[in-house]
Amino acid sequence: MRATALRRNRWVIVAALVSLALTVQPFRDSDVWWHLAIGHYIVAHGIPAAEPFSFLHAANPWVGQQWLYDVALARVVDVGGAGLASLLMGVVASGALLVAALSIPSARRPRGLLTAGSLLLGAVASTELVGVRAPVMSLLGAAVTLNLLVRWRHGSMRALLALPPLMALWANVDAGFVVGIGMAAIALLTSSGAGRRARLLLGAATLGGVLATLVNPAGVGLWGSVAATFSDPTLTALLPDLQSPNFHDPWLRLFEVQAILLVIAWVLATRRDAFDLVLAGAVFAASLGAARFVSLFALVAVPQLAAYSASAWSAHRHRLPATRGFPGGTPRSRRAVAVAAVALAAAGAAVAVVPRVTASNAAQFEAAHEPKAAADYAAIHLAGRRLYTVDSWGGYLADRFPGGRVVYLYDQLWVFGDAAVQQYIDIHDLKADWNTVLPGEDVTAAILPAGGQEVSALLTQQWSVDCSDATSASLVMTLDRGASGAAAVGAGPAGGGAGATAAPPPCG
Amino acid sequence: MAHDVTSTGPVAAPPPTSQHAAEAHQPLIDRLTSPGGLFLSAVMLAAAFPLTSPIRDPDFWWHLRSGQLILQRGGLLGTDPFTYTVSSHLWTMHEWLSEVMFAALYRWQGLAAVVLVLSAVSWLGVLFIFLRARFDRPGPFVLGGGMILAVVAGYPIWGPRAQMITFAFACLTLLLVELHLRRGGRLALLLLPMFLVWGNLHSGFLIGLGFIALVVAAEAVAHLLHLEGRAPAARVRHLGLLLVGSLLVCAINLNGPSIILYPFGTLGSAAQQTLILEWHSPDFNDWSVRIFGIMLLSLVGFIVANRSIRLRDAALVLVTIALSLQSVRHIALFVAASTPVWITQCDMLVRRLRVRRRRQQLPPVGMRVVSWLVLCGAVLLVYVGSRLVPAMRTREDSVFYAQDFPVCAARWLGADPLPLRIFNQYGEGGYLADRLSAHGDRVFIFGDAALMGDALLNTYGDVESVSPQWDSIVRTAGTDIVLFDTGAPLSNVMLHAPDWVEVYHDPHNIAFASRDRVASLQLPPQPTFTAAGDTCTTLATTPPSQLSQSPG
Repeated sequence: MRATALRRNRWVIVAALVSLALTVQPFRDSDVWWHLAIGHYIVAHGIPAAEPFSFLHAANPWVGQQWLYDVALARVVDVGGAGLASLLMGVVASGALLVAALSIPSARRPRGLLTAGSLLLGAVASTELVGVRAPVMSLLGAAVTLNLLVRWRHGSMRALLALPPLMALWANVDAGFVVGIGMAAIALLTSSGAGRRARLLLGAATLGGVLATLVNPAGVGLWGSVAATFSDPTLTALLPDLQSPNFHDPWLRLFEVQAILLVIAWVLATRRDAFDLVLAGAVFAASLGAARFVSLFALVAVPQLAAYSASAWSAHRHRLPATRGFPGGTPRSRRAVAVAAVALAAAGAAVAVVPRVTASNAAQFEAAHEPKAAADYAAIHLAGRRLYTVDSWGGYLADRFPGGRVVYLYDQLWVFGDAAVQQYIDIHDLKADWNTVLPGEDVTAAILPAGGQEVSALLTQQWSVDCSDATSASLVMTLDRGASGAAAVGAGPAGGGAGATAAPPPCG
Repeated sequence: MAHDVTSTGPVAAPPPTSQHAAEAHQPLIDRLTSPGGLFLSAVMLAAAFPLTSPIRDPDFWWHLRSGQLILQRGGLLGTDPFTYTVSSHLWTMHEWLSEVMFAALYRWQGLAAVVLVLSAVSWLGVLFIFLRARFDRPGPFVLGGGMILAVVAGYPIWGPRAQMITFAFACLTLLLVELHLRRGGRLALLLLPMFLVWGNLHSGFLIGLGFIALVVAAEAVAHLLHLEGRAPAARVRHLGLLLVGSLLVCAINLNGPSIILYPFGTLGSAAQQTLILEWHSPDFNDWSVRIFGIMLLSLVGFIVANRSIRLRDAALVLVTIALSLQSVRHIALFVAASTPVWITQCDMLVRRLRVRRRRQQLPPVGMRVVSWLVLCGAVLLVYVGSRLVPAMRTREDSVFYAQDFPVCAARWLGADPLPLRIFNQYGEGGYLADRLSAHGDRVFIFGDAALMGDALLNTYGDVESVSPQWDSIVRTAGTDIVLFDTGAPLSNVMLHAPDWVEVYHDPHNIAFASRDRVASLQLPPQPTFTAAGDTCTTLATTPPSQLSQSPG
């Protein structure tokens, strides 16, 4: 970027750097583990034709649609550990917000502080949905697509050349490439003022993008698997990302704030663009149905909130009561204050980011949020035995035990199919036939959350607790027919038979 | 006609409204019997359909019993007589007047009277929305369409329940406030007696006070910013005084002035927000909530397209959107506050977009009156015959109620000579309290979440979610019998728990007693459900898909 452009955009760049304090996160999303597992598998054996870790019969072939993300993630973790992956994905998310912020045409671009503020609000609103997650790559793809479309709308036909290769790359990284196609379609539909040639070129580029997505291990089947995942109620019921947002979460209320501010800015601005309105409206509507789109809305809203707020301010500032100007001091002193503020913000961001990317922090986080100690115990004492666990921990076990097909199910639900998912729901939600599920699959060992309802249920079936891990609040339970029992969990009889209430030993 | 308060120049002014102005000066009979009038009349009558049903609110039953006890004892109950867990908790009976009303109506004509009155109250709320929407004289088809959308959007919430009283009063509050700001006068003084009554009927009076405060604040800001369309300052001041007066009047309550702070306890309870389904955020993948989503998105679209909205309307819309996104039960507030705004905004857009239509020649007045009478009569007849009467006639021991409430289980428990301590499902505590408390039986929990307290709610949640402590919680509380829904996780675990024995089951409920105590409980034997025509026999012998979901 040239020096003038850097200076003009310095506040936005600073805001993007500060946003790293929000976007650099440890492995909060449990899906990261099966992505790692499959990434290592692909490096060693190539893309599998069928699900490679579980002992369940998977109804559908392995699609491998995110293979590029899986491999890249595995390589990064191998080279620099979880901390490096956290840092890089944080940079991707902040980069996406920066690209989106810079998508405002220079003629409409407001003062840097306003755009910087909008970027930071977008970062805060999307905090819960960024981190080491494949959809963050789609955020970047969406930001780049938005940038290309804005350039096209302002006369740059050459920008469209990047659309097909972007889609080809995107389709091998995450299923969110559909969003990019959708954005191009919205641009096509709402740019009636653009010339016929320009619209034809966009149409051709969009079609090229669609065809480019077929350059994927799954080929045409890619679209089918994406549609099936999003439309199958059995699958979507298990994935919080595909359910409506929970507005009791304070972070999601910021998404609400962002939306409200955007609507106010639209109403008060002097000019509105149909593309902006339709794009933001469509993404907001999608967000109400599936929380995973909240981060996309936050991204789309960043440039719009800045541009329209500036327009609204210009149009209506005269209504405000007259005030004396800020006693801001000399330009030199104001510059000094600005530099000091930036330095403070950067220092704060660094203080927040650095501890999160250390190996020790990553290890601590893993031990606290995944059943690490329980898996260590299982590796020693339960080697080769099929393990039942909850779907959110299934990916971690797939990464810990990639061979031997001892893992039950994890959140690659479309591959497993409705029958396997329903079977899991039967035991996890304690449906009428819950007690037949594990015996039916010859499962005699389980790693479970200590407060989970499966624990109580299995205790009624002569399962016992081998060990517990307080750090991750997990238990290892086994059914040892005929063996002398281990201690029952210290909760009274729990309906599982009278007797010992001694606390189980620690797994570590 | 809506005043343009945020016009920013390039927005075109609304086209002339001579047509609507002319229509407004037509005689009432011409307005009613015009095509638009016929449509509106049919819509307003048909709006009663979704508002009318048998009792579905699980809390109704303990309200009813509480009202009967208040009348019996001649005063509020200091503590609850229904539970064996929190019987020492002080009970703020914030709905005491509603409960007395339910008991009085029930004594007069049973559930029929309750269904009739609550349906009428709900419909009045819709009528108040309609009257408020008419201030801006929208076209009849937009007005009617908006009312249809509003009634459908509120579908997750409608039904004969105490919250409908708050809904109706909230709509009336907004109507009186708007009337005062537009036309002045003394009708707004009705707010004072209204809040006096509302404060004793339901703690939702806080919503009414909040609406008034919001409007006053918005008007104050509008004056500060010199926005067009603001109400005269004197009227806003009067409204502020009425707000203070209403607040003071709310303190005139059998529970004492502290009733004013009572609603904040509910709003601040993490356990209630987490455990009670109605407090959860709306699920937009549920079709019944999607209509609300469509109404919300279309309203925003209209406002953005028109760029002309009064600040007080904008404030009401914003706040009720935020409330309804937080909790599905607040969709009713969104409908109450935002429907007139939706209608006004839609009408503005329609007027900008459409070509002036020719005024049609109407048929003779006699024919129009007959048409109106026939149409309204037909709608009314269908409503009364297919909806109201069946809802009123549905007996509380009918198959309809037995599908939702522990009708058969309560009958079985009532046959036990001993009073029992029943660990129950949260939503069934009210029904069991109503049926069995006079028998001496006690429940673990019922639907007054504030009375139960967060500690008990969380404890109950641990059992319902079958946490490892479920058994010890149930036993430590002194429970004699566990009665839960058939097919619930707890029920499915207890079926295999060796320390518990199944003592009762029907298609809706299943009961367990501790193996070491079952003999001492003198429980009646499992009923055989063979008596012809009996509700429980029908429930037990009819496949669920064939059980009627219709009242009657």
